[in-house]
Amino acid sequence: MRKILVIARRDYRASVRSKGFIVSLVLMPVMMTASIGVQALFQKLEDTKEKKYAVVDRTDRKLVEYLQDSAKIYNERMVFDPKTNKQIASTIILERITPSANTPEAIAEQRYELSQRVEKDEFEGILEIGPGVMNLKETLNPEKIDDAASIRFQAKKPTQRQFMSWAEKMLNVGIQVKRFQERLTPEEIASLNIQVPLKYKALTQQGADGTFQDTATGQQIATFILPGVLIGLMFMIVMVGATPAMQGIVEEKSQRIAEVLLGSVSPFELMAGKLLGVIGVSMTMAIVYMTGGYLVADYYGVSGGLTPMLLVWFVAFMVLALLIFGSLFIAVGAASGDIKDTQTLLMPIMILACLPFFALGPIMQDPNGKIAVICSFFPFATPMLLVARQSVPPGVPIWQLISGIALVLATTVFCVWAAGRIFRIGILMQGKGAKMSDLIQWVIKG
Amino acid sequence: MSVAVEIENVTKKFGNFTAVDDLSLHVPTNTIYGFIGPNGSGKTTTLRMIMRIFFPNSGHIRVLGEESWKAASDRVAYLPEERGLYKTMKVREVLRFYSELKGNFDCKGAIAEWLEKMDLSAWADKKVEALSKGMSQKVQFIATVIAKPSLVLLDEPFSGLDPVNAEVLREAILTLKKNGTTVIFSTHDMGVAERMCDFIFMIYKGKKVLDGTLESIQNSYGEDTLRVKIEGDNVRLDSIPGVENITDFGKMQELRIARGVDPQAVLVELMKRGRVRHFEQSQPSLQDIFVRIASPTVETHQ
Repeated sequence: MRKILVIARRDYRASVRSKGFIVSLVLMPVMMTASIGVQALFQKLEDTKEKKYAVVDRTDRKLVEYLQDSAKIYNERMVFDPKTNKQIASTIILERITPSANTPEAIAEQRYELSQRVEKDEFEGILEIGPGVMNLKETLNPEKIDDAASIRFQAKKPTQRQFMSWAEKMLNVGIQVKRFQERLTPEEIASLNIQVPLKYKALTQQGADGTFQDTATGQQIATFILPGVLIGLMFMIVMVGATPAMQGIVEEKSQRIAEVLLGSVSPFELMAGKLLGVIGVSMTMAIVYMTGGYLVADYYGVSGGLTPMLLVWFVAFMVLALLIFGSLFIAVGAASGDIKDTQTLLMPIMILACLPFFALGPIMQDPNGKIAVICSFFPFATPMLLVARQSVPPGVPIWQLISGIALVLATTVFCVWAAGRIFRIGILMQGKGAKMSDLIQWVIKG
Repeated sequence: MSVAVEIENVTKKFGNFTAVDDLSLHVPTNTIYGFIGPNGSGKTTTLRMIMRIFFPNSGHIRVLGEESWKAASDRVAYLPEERGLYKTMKVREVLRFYSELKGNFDCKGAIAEWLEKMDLSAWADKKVEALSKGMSQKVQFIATVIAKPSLVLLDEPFSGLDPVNAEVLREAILTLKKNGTTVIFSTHDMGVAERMCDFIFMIYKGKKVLDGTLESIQNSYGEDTLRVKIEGDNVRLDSIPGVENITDFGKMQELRIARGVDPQAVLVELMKRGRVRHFEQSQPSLQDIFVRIASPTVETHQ
C-alpha cells in the first residue's frame, strides 16, 4: 500500500509541476478577472462620443420638435450611469433639416446631398419622416405603406439598431400623441397611454418555513447554464488529470523506466498508484476551479444554485469519471509506442467523453425529459449527465440516481479491470504501438 | 555455495523467433557473473526473465531460492540498458523514489553517501535531463543499488562511461560483492569481463556457448594463440602451414594454430619472412574467443 502512495506521489508531483497544469491553473484566475474586467472595460470603451443625425420632417405637425425633446430627455437620463455617474452611452444630437419641395426629383436630390454629408461623417445617419405618416387611411393597410407614409433611416452601415429602435418608438409615440391631440387634452392622452408592463418571473416554490416565494430570476438563469458549466468543468478536470498519466506511461515505456518499476511493484500496484495520482491532480484542479467559479458566481449574484449537496455529488461523480477515463487513458498510454500512437487509440475514448456535450441541448431544455434520462444511462456519460441534471431543481429521481451509480460503479470496475489487463501487457511492449484489435485480444485473453 | 539464480532448460519465444533456447545456468551467491554475446543474442531477454518481467515458455527459473510469477521483489534490482530515469525529476528525488519503491524509506543518508562516492553531490538538485550520459548512467546505477538488494542485474552498465567513470563504477561493483551482493551484468567490453567477472557466460543465437571461469574457458581452447611482432618491408603472413587464422592488430599480429601443429615450425617459417621481434605462445583472449564464436566467416570454416 505504501508503494502505491509512493507512485501516486511521484505522478502527482510530475503532473502538478508540468507546464500544462500550471498554465491551466493560472488560466482560471485570469479568466475570472477577465470576465469581470472585460465587462467593466466594455462599459468604459462603449462608444460615448456624441452622435449627430440629420432629421427631415416632411409633415407639418412638428414631429421633429417632439423627437428633439425626447432626445433631450434621453440625453439627461440614459447617457450617465445614475450610480457611478460615468458616461455609458452616446448623447444624441438631432439637426433639423428643412425639407425640400415635395417632388420626387427634389426629394431624391436632397437625399443625395445629405448622403454626401454622411459620407463626410457630418452625420451618423439621415432620419426622414414621410409626409403621409399622420394620414390614417394610408397607414391603415400595412401592405400599402410606401415611403411617404413611413420613416426612413439612411446610414453608411446598418449597424445603428439602438438608435433606429429608439427613434421608431419615440416617433410613433409622438405620432400617436399628435393623432389624439386633435381630439383630446394632453393629460387625457398621457393617462390613456400608460403602459402595462409584462414581467418575467420564475416558478413559485414553498420555502422551509411554509411560505410561498418566487424563485429569484438570477438564480434561474444560473440553473439554466449550470448543467453546461458542470459538464464542461468535469470534462476539463478529467482531461487535466488523465492526460499527464497517459503521457507519463509513454515516457516510462520509452525510457525503460517501466521495467525498473515492475521490478519493485506489481502491475496492479503501479496502476493503482497512477489512478490515485490522477485523482489527486484532478482534485487539486477541482478545488481551485470550483472556488474560483463560486467566487465569480457570487460576484454576479447567481451562486444560489451551488449547494453543498451538489458539491458532494460533483466530487463523487468526478471520482467515478476519473476512474473510468483515468484507467482508459492509462491503458492507451501502456498500449502506445510513442505519443503519436496515443492519438489514434484516444479517438474512441474522446468520443465517449464528449457524449454529454451532444446531449447538453435537450438536457438544458428539459433536465428530466426522455432524452436526458436515456442519455444518462449511457455509463460513460452518466457521471457528467447526472451531476448536470442534479444541479437543476428538483433534481434526478432517486431510482435513476441509484441505478445510475450502480451502472457507473460496474463500468468503473470493468474499465479498471480491462485497462489493468492491457496495462500489464502493454507496459512491457516495445516498438510500435498496439492496434485496437490487439487491445481487445489482451482484454479477453489476458 | 548457495545459488542465487538457477535457470533450468529455459526456452523463450517471441512469436516464431526463439530468443533463448533450452538454457541452463547457475549463478552462485556473492559472485560477479558476466553475460557476453553479440547484439540480439538473448542477453537482455535472459536478464529480463531473471527479473521475471518475461516468463519462459518452458523451463524453470529460481531466483534467490524461489520460483515466483511476480516481478516485484525488494531483493532484486535491475538497471536497464541506458535510460531508466525520469528526465524531469531531480537527481535526489529520483533516487529517493527508487529507494522507496523497494520499501527502503529511510534513505537520505545513503543517497548522500552514494552521490559523494560517485562524485555527483554537486548535481543532486539538478534535473536528470541536465546530466551527461556518463553522469546519468552513474545516477541510474545508484538508483539500482540504493535499497541494498541481494541480487543486482545490470544491463550494459559500462556503456557510455569514460575511463575515469568506468573505474568508479568498477570499484562500486566490487564493493557490492564485498558486501555480499550477487552481481550479474552484461557487457560488450571483453577486457572488463576478463578482469572483473568470477564467471563468464556467453549466449549466441539464444544458445549457451560459454559458461565458467575465464580460466576454464581459456583452458578448453588450449594454448593455440601466437602473438608475434615482425619487422621488415611488406612482410606477408598468409599461407603459413598450420595457421588457421590471422588477426592483424597493426603493430602486432595474432596467429591461431591448428591442433597438433608445432609452434616452433611456425616460428621457423616466420623468421624466413622477416625479423621476429616478439614471439609468444598463449591462450586465446576472451575477445578472440568471442570473435571466433560470433564471427560468421569463422563459422563457415569450422
